[in-house]
Amino acid sequence: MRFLVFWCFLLIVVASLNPVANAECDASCVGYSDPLQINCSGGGGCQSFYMKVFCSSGCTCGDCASQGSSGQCCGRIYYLAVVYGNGEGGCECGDVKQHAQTHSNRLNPEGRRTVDLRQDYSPGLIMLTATESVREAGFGYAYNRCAHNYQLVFEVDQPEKHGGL
Amino acid sequence: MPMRYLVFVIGLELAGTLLTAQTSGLPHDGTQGSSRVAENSAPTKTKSRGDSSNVVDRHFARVRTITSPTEMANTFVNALQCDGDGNVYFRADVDGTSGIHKLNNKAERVALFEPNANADLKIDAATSFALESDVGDLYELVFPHEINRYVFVYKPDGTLKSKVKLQPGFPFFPSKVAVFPGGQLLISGTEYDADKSATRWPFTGIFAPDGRLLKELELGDEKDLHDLAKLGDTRFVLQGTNASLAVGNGQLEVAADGNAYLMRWTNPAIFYAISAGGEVVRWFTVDPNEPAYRPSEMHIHKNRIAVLFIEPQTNEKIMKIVDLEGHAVATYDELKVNGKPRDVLGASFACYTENPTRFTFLGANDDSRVELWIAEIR
Repeated sequence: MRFLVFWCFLLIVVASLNPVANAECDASCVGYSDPLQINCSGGGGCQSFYMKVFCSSGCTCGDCASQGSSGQCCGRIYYLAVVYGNGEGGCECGDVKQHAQTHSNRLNPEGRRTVDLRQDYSPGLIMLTATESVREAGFGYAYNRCAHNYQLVFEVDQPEKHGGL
Repeated sequence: MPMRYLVFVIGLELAGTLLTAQTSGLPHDGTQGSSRVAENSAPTKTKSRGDSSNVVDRHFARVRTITSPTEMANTFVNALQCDGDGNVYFRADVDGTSGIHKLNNKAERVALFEPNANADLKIDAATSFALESDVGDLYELVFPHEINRYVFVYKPDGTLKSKVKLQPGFPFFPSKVAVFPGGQLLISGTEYDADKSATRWPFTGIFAPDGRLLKELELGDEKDLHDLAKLGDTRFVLQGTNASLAVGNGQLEVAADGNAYLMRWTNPAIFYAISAGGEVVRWFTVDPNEPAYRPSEMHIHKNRIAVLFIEPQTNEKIMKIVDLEGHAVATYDELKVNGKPRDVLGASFACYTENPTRFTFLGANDDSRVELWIAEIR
């Protein structure tokens, strides 16, 4: 038992010191596609639509469940992919960081069209002012590999300013 | 750059084994005011805006239904095209691997474009496609089981002509493609942030016919779309993903003036006219003047653009016609009887022609037979 506790402790220390230490990805390197609108047609003149993502090769080490979540459209079930990242490295994907830094416009903090696009409201967000929103505190669960249970984690974002006012 | 931080952690955090099931925030019912901040246009762009009224000129209504003798389907991926001969192209399976169906004007299948027919690549998915205007070759975005993305080029009869490996020099997620008369490809999509787990950035690039990236474009809205998605605004990001609704659901077509018109899935819909050389000739917005509406499909006929806007809850529709500079030409809604649409035309808007003004929608009957629904102005 002491031996097991020691190894758990050691694992925690190593993971916290260097969480993505150039490890190989033991799973797959995956990523979400951009969403596509899927239109449904059904009996009784039903017409509806939903947004679909699928998994493709990407830069996140983990697994993709192609039927990770589901819904219904005109009475027919559909499935959405869910990527479960495992936090490992090994999916470096080439020159992502260096290329991302080449965009001069992206370093410019001026948001030119944000206010126009927001239309003075922010679905899913708490709007503090016309140019400041914040997400409601989220919570999630961290899996404790040693104790084999999930533990509650709170996550809070700072209010974020946007728009060119 | 805002700094995200953990306020506190109850229990033990094991880095590398974090499985997060984040709850969604409550929707904010803020007022949907009409005040807008004037947009600034960059020096290289000109901006024009359509009308700002809610006036509907006339209505569109189904005048003819053509039931396919060959096709069965209940879902249609919102990447629909028509060619100058009146053929309709659609994809029915959501991962795209079973092919694009080409129907003639009697709704008979005349060709099938199958990426999986190519045995040397395992295909994960295929998404949007474009038609080359002269010969009618079909260009399809294909995701093989590798980090490289491809464009498959097919002859009009569905046989594979070539495979073009896209070589931007970094991983990306293409979502829309257009082909210029000279063979260059305009591709929009997203690319990773320096932090690979963060919200992705819009990407727009011109590729040579052999797949080399010739030019990456900065349209000017990348930061806005990225930041709104990063904030979690559900109009810009699909919850639980780092993918962009504004880009992924955008539309892209080449017009008779030789420019490609890229539409963002936003309200108002932002359009960019882009030349084959990668110059942003102009940009403009098309506004449905109804805040809840979203652009569903866009098609171009000669010097006219038709944008179908849909209200997601009620499925009510507005069709805005503008010219290639964004000036409003006409606004139509569905013909209603007793306050309800007489026909239920759905969101699968496939074709637009003028003289007479005609819109073709795809749907299915109760037996799942594919139907072409021809709508005209009434």
